[in-house]
Amino acid sequence: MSSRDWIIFVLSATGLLALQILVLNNLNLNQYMYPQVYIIALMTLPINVKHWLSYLIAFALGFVVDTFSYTPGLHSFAAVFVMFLRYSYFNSFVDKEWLSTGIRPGFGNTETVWLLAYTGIFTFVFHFVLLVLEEFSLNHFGSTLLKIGYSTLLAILLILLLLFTTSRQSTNDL
Amino acid sequence: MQSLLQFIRRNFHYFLFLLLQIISLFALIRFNRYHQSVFFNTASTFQGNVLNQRKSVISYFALKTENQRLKEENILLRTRGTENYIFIDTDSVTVKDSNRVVQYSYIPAKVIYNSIRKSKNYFTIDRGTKHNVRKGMGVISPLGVAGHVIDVTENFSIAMSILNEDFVLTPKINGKVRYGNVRWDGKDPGVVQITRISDLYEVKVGQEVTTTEFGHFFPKDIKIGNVSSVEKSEKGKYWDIEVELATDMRQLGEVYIIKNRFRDELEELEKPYIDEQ
Repeated sequence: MSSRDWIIFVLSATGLLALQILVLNNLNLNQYMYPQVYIIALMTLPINVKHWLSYLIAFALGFVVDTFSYTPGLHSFAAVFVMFLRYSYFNSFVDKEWLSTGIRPGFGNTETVWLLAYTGIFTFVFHFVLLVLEEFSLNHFGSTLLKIGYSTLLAILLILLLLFTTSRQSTNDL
Repeated sequence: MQSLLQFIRRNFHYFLFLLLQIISLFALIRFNRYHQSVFFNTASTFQGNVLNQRKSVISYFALKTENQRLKEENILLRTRGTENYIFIDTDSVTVKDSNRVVQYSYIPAKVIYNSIRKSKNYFTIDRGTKHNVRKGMGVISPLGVAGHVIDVTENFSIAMSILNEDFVLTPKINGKVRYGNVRWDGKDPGVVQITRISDLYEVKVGQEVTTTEFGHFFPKDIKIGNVSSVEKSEKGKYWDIEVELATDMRQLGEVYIIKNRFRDELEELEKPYIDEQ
């Protein structure tokens, strides 16, 4: 990524964090809906980004969210974990040639079906780890699963919406 | 070394990943009250279970010795009869048993600290002034003499162990008072010495050594131990006697503190006539 890309990344990440902390965390739709949208910043990192860098970025973003929601360690754990899976996937199951292009997952850049699957799995894993860890017990696993399901679905919708609108904007810009 | 560095460099991201996860988990458990309580509850439940298991296994192994100890204590209690009593009234006409009053009573206690490695050993007991323990009371184990109380606080007391060079006791050997001194030489914690027993008296290995009432610490005939060796002292005229202690001072646990009802009175009376040792 060029330095311009980095500046854009920092700005968009800041915007996403603000959206998450100021709006979504205070939404209180119902007891099961707890969507985490700031993970777009992690999802859309270039596919060939250095793994150690992606862990540090994930940790930093998680740390910020944790700080503002009084849950030290919770988001940073889930974020680093999901980035580890992301890296493992790209390292093992993806064509090296495609990987070297270093594109960022998004509408227009990647196949739509792949993007939908990628978003779905990424969001699900993140919410699963996050909410199980938040519950920290298997006593009410049913309600934890409901929480994971609703939150994941809502988050996927919001994320796809955001990805779609920003990709249109960026093509307009160009 | 080179290959180790290479290994670390090649797997750097794994280490970084693990490090970040550990930091997160640590923060989660350390700084979130809910997670902390869940974690430590689970941990302490687990730990408690393990400790309970360990204790039950260990106490199972100790059953045999514990049993033996209880048996010996039973025998002792059975044989412990009138020596605890003193006649206060020479007029034997009085009705029933009211002519006797208990002179010695026993306060059960536990030893919570015990030393045997120094030349002046002490042990700490979990009973104090609150439980009527006073300075100068004798302390016995179920098997025999252990020491006497030298300092008391509200809840605890310190006793000078029989394994203390300053501890002096007048013994009976084979049931007869011979005016020697029981003293410890600071070497073997299972053996004490008796000095200044005249060689005119017959002393044999295996004879029982018990307490006298001298010093008012103990009732008479509390066991100290058995004679394990008798030798002529270098100066002649005296025996050098070694006594194997009845009490295993290394495993001192349950003890009884002996309360002598007339101790103060006796001391008050004797004070002008008997020198302090």
